[in-house]
Amino acid sequence: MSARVLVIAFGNPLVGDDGAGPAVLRQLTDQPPHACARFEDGGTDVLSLPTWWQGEGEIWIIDALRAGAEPGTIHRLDHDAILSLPQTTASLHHLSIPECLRWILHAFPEMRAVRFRLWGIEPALVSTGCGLSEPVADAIGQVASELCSALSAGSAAREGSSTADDNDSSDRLS
Amino acid sequence: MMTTRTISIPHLGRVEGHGGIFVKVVDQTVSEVNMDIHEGSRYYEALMVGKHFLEVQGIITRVCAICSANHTVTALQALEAALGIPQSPRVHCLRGLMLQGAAIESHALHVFALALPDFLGFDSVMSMASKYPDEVAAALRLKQLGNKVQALIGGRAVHPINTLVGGFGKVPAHRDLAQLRGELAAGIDVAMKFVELAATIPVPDFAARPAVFVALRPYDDRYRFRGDSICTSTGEEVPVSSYRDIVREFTVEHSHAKHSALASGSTYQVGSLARLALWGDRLEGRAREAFRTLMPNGVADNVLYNNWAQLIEIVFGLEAAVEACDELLAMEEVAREQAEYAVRAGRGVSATEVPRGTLFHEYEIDDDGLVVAANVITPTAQNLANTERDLRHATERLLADGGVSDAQLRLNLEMIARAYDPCISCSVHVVRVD
Repeated sequence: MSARVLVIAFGNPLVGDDGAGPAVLRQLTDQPPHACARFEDGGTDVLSLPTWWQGEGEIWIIDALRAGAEPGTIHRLDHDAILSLPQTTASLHHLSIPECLRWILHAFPEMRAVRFRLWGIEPALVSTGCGLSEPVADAIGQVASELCSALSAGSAAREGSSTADDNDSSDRLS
Repeated sequence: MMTTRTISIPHLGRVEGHGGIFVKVVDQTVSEVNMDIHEGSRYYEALMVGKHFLEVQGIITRVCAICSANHTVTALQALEAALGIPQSPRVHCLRGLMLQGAAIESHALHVFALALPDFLGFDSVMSMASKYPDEVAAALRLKQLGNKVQALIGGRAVHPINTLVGGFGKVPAHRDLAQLRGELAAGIDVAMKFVELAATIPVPDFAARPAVFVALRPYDDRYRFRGDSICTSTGEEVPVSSYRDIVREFTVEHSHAKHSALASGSTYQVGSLARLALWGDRLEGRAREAFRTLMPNGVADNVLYNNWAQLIEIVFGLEAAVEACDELLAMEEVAREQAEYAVRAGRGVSATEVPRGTLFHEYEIDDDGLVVAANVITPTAQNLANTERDLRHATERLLADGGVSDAQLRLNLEMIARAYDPCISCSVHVVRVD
């Protein structure tokens, strides 16, 4: 069965809380696999996303996200919220996530049906050094747990839908 | 009465990283020019000391996403030099292909997304899409093609894992190489369309200044990204293993990064323009055509042309990658390639030409294979002192012309800094919502 969700983490585990995304990913991949999901570590290049994508209908992004909240705060953005973020150069990267996604969707029309979700963790310290700050480390488990639940809920819904569809088909055939 | 004018650009937009420029003018005389880039590779050097040499690539590849393949190849070659491991023709070819993939990716991103908006009067790549929708789409597809090369050879689009000391964990199948070859060959015409577009865009001369160029002498008589000696446009040449004789690093108070100069004290420039200045006459095929189209009078001493030099190297990279695929396809298909070696104490140096210039890695390991010392000198750090000189010269020239506004001065100085394509902190990724 091919995956329906690509879960991809961005960030650098050698730069403090920038490693929040990869830390969540490690927790997720330590658990039994979800049949509906595929997990990737995207490093720090969002624009390489099309190379990781294998036709999944949803891409869930995990990243450090700075919005002026308390360190460790978990931000949850849906598709429209991500794409409506303003283009700023405030990200330490050259282009912001929304700008990258807009460019990707412009260049790869085959990805325009993809729905994005983003889990962001407010960092305390982003500087060269291994390990996460305490509040960010505390948030890692919660994000991993939420993602697992969302994946399980998605699988259950799909199975239900699939069963209903099968039933419908059977009814029609009979 | 003394008049003071300061131009401060605390955050440089559209560069690969976090950096800023500060210029102070007193009575129409430029008194201070500082450029700072957050330079993270020094931290990585310290992190590697005490680690086993097999851990080096997993660490160094995280210096930067865009440059991850370049750091990986350079580190592996330096470690192999320390251990006395020869490079087989297949490994040499696979690494060369990966370097070209990285160059295509990096150059495409810089030329199209970070530099071209300046020349066409847009503030970002996506605003450029309103007038050039096809070009903006093609640009990202070219960048992606570079990622695809790295994914096939290195096992990942960024931060390769298939690359090993002495070989490759998995050698790509002929079927996959043949498919990649087709895509690379098709990319050449796409890149040449950008050459035609660039040829119509005038390049300002406010950054023109005599420059000293430095690049590796190619290992054979063709245009290459690898070589065994370092050459300057002033006629000096030293073996790569003696790089400290030619690259003199020094610290400055205003910058996190070390600056570099030649032993003579002269600042110098590395990167695409330097490579073309020294070895451009060796280009062949469509890359030669692109060189003649964009630089009919040869390489100009004007760093703004580095953007076009990168465009020429995209064409070169695509052609070189097609050639590398052909070489690999002519070899017997194997599942993996791994040289046998014994761990021993040693010191090894390697240099490669990477998108922004010459990259040096040096490692010393002990009898147990633990890293005793590491030294990484990035092209961005080498270019910093020269960038400041260019910024100073351009400011003086623009002031002498008279009537330049702060906004225009700021834009022109940013264009100079961007033309060097400085890179460091794409080793970090944080989303920010203001």
